[in-house]
Amino acid sequence: MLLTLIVFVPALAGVIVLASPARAAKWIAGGFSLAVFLASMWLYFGLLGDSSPNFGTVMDPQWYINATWIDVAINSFHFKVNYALGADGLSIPMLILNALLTFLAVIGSWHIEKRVKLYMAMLLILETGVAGVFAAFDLFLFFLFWEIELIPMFLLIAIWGGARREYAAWKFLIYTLVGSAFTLAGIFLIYFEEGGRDASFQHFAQNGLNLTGALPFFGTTVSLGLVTFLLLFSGFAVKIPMWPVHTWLPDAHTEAPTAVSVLLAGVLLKMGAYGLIRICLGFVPHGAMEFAPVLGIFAAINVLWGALASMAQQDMKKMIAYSSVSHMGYVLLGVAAASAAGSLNLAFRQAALTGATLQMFTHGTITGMLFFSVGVLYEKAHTRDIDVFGGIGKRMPTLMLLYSVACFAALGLPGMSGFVAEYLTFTGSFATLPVVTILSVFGVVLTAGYLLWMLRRSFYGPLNMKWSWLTDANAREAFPLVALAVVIIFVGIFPTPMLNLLAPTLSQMIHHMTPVIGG
Amino acid sequence: MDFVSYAWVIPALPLAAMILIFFGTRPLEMLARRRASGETAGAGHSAGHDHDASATDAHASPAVSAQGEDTHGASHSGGHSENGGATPFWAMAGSVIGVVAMVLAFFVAVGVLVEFLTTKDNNLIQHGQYIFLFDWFRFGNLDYTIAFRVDQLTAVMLVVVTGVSMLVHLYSIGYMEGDPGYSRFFIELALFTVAMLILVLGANFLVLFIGWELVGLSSYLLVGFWFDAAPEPPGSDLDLPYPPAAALKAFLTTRLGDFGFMIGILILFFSTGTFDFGALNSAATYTHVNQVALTAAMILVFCGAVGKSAQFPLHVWLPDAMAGPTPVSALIHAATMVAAGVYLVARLFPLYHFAAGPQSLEVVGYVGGFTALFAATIALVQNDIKKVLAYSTISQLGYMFVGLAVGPNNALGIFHLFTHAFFKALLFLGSGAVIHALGTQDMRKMGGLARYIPITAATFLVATLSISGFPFFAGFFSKDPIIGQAFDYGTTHGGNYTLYGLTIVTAFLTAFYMFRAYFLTFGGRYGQIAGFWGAERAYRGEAHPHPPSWVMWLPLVILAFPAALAGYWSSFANFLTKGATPAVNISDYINSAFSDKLTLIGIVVALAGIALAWLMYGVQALPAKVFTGNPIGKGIHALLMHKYYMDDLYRLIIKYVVLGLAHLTVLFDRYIIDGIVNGSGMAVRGLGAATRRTESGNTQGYGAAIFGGALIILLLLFFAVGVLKL
Repeated sequence: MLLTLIVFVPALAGVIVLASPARAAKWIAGGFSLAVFLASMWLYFGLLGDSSPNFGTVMDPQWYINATWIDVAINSFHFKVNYALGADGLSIPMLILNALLTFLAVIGSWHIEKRVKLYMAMLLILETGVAGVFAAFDLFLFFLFWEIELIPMFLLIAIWGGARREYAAWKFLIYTLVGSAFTLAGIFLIYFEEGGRDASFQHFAQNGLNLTGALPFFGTTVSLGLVTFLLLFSGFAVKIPMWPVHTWLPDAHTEAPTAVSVLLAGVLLKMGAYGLIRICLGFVPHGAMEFAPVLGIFAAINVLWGALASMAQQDMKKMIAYSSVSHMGYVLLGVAAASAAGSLNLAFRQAALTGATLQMFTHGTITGMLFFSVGVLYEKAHTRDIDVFGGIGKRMPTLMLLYSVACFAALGLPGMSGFVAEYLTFTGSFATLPVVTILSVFGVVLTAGYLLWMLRRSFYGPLNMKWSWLTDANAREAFPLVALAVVIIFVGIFPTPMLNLLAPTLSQMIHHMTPVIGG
Repeated sequence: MDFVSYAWVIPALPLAAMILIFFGTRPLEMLARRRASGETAGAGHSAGHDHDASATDAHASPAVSAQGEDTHGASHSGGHSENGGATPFWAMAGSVIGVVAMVLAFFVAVGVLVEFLTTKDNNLIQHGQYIFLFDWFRFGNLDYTIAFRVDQLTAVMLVVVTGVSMLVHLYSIGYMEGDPGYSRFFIELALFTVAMLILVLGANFLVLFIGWELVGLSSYLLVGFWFDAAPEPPGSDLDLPYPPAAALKAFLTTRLGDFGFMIGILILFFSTGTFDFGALNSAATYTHVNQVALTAAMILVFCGAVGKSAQFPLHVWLPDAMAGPTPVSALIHAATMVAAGVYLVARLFPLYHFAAGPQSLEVVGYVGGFTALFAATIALVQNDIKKVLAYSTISQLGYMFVGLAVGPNNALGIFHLFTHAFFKALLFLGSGAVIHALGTQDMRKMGGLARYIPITAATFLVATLSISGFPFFAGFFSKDPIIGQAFDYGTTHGGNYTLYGLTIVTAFLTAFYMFRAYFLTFGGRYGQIAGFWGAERAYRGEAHPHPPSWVMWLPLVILAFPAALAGYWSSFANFLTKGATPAVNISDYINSAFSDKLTLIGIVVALAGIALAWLMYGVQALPAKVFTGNPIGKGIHALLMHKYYMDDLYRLIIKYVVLGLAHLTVLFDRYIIDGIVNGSGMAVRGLGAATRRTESGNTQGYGAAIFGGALIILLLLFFAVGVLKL
């Protein structure tokens, strides 16, 4: 019931916002999104009661609800969709992150004047779509939510975006739709290959190991596992985004309003990573193992390519967008290393996968903070060009402090969550994929380069008198930044609760895969 | 009392000070400032942040900021009122909290050291004390533990770090007086101290690396402390570093070294499954480890040390780091943080010496030896007093690495680290007193200053004698054994005396350039006692030098004692090696220093360096033109002035290689990937004329678009299903 509330209350709130007067829109949206955030915190704290809390696994989800929804049988064709929602260590952090960022996005959108009712409604409907993706425990239901999310996001970019908003919105839509089409094909393939009667996650997780065999392919054969993996992964790869299907992201981010960028980078990209881990890795371990070395190479390309491209940017937002490409590369690296074949200590695999999962959460908070920081600056200066500023740190010391915190978190400074995630990923992934890990570690140097170089050009040095009128961030503007900084530093210093939440789920997954990948 | 178990208090104290200042006194100070500006000026700067606008504007305006730090110095000299002169009450309260915390931490640290010196508990002597803080996580048998370990090496480092930090805190009250960022300075100073203490207390690579990166952060913050300073105008030949650029350079250069360090950690962790130094340093861990991998790992770990300890080729950041306030240079960029690389190698010494192949320590030794000479040559021609000291730091760090590479244990390198921390901190604080007194750091505008600031001059002379290896001073007892051991190393390594040659030549150069700096600053021609003391006639500047306040000269006097006498800890090696090295009593210790022919050579070389400096700069009997007048000398001089063109080389690499690649990726994205995407996108959009006319908010159009998208999915789906013959 709790999950149903978390998923559908935002949409309901969206309808209420549309039906209410415009001046109440922000308050209604803020109130509901705060309530949803508190409810999603209960997903975690509600389980803490026992001395050894059970956070669930894919086989044994918590907060589980299951009801038959569609059940059509025509001859041998059996199409069955259940309304099944559940949560475990992999999804609870994502659900919390989604609720937190949506709440902060509403606060961060307080200045929006243009069609504010529709805007707030779209933010809330987006929350429903994303929460549904993380909560669904039925593959078709998962895909339904996956597609629902597109509509509000498309409109948010296309209506409230910048100068090239139409191009960016279309690019986002087409990229995602094409990728999703393959994913849907993959869903059908796995559904029918595994009985065609049950689309529940438990079913696929249980039977994933049976997905062996070969398919004819232009005179030769390819393994069924690999084909299924690649089909499913196509949509996820676009969302993550993985090089070379990443170019929608910089455009979407550049055009989207601040809060939408926060959600886009904070939770929408995580949908791809979540799909990769939950579905590709969990349900198709054979395919994951076969693809792992290639995925590792893509991971290193993501990391280095994103970092290099960031370095060449003039637009702060575009720079952060490319930095997302780079940082999501660490997620890919961890996943690739966890699923790569090899006989070795399982703990290394688990470290890599835990690092990747933590990176998903941590990237959501850190990039959210970066985008909010740019947003504060942009609302005042109406430009994001790094070089037109200069020395503005003197006029905006609070913003400089918070922006610097975000930058240092992003470059993996200890004491902040990014370091924990990267350190875990690297120490784990080196065991199976040493070369790509070494390449990825170099990304850390480049990340420091572009972020600090940006700070230097915009905030340091003598004040460019053109900006002498700039005022510092006020309390409302600083609130999302401070809130995220608290989360980032807490997880960075004491990640234990977070990792304990992840551990059972990921451990079950790794152990489940062991017969395939070796251990 | 059981100090060792409470060693965690040592970093906790500056941490508490940092939090108190950040959340307590600094907001109060800002509040008070806002109220004051509301009462007096009313208009204008109501923002009330810690950069008082009028002061910083003056700082940045080209007229005043002819030279970055000069402005700063000048703002102090004569008590100019542009910074409000005195430090505000709450800012002062914050700094007092910092000093008190450091005094307490120092006493605990001394307690720890004394306990190690006096303990009879063999378990404590052999294994130190393990202080578990908390677990991050455990997977199977992989532990990510946050834990401290105190042993003899850590105890020595604790005293050095807290001692120098305490004195620098005190000194900064005077040096930073009235600076608009006064509170921020003490926050960052405390942050550095915490980080450095975590670094030396860490029981495993995880904790050490946390401290390692955090000192990098505080170094970045403190080098860039005057982040709003203006760059040096063209035409100045002093080449003063520009704080924002220097901070960036420091962070990135050390991070480049950390790249290797991290990979070294990864190899070690993969091979052994542990981060713990205790486990890593015991031979049993390596029975199954590939020695080639281990050697590579140790060389990679040394890369981190090369970055942090500013060894060739990653030394370029340290001279620029002098853009930070001088107390920072003393604490971070001379005494403690830059020694972290030496500490790292010393910490892992058993690994280097016994487990890994001999190549790993050879790399350490040759990099150190080469750097020692390389940096010393650059120091010969510097006119900026801080630059001389910066290059001398790089050079002395090189000595420490040589000491680690050639020694039978880590005591040689660490002993030099120990003595160097005191005399180098003293040199920097002394130079700070000079800069504070004059408002310039150009030695050509100094001379004869011993007449005006005698305490500074006398203490500076003590430190100069010490670093030059003058007999009976601390530096002599720590540096000369390294040179001697380098000779023995040559003997046992097939007569390859390269390291000995490098270190002995460096010893000569060190004595020369340090006394050159002393004569140029405090004595010189027309000075008293044949140029060894100051006189008004010898002074070449215009500004009237004013003596430092007690908070500034007291640390100098205190530091002069260890700078002169630290070498008399004759049982240092015995202590550090847990009794593996025999103890010696002081008279034997001094006698043995002279029984050796090598030592006499060392003394002669040091005296020759001092004599040459005296001839050239003390009495100017031998003008520098003799050397730079001919074309070859001129060429060498230009090469040294340009620091062997290393900075220019890095600039070219960044500009053309790194940024070139960066722009290539963007072009690839724009023209290749997006070319394909836009092409196919146009084809899709061409399918329906309705979609082409979409306007924002035209929901019908979007509905159609999404429906079209769904159609595409279905088509592709049927295609896929058909192909796969389901």
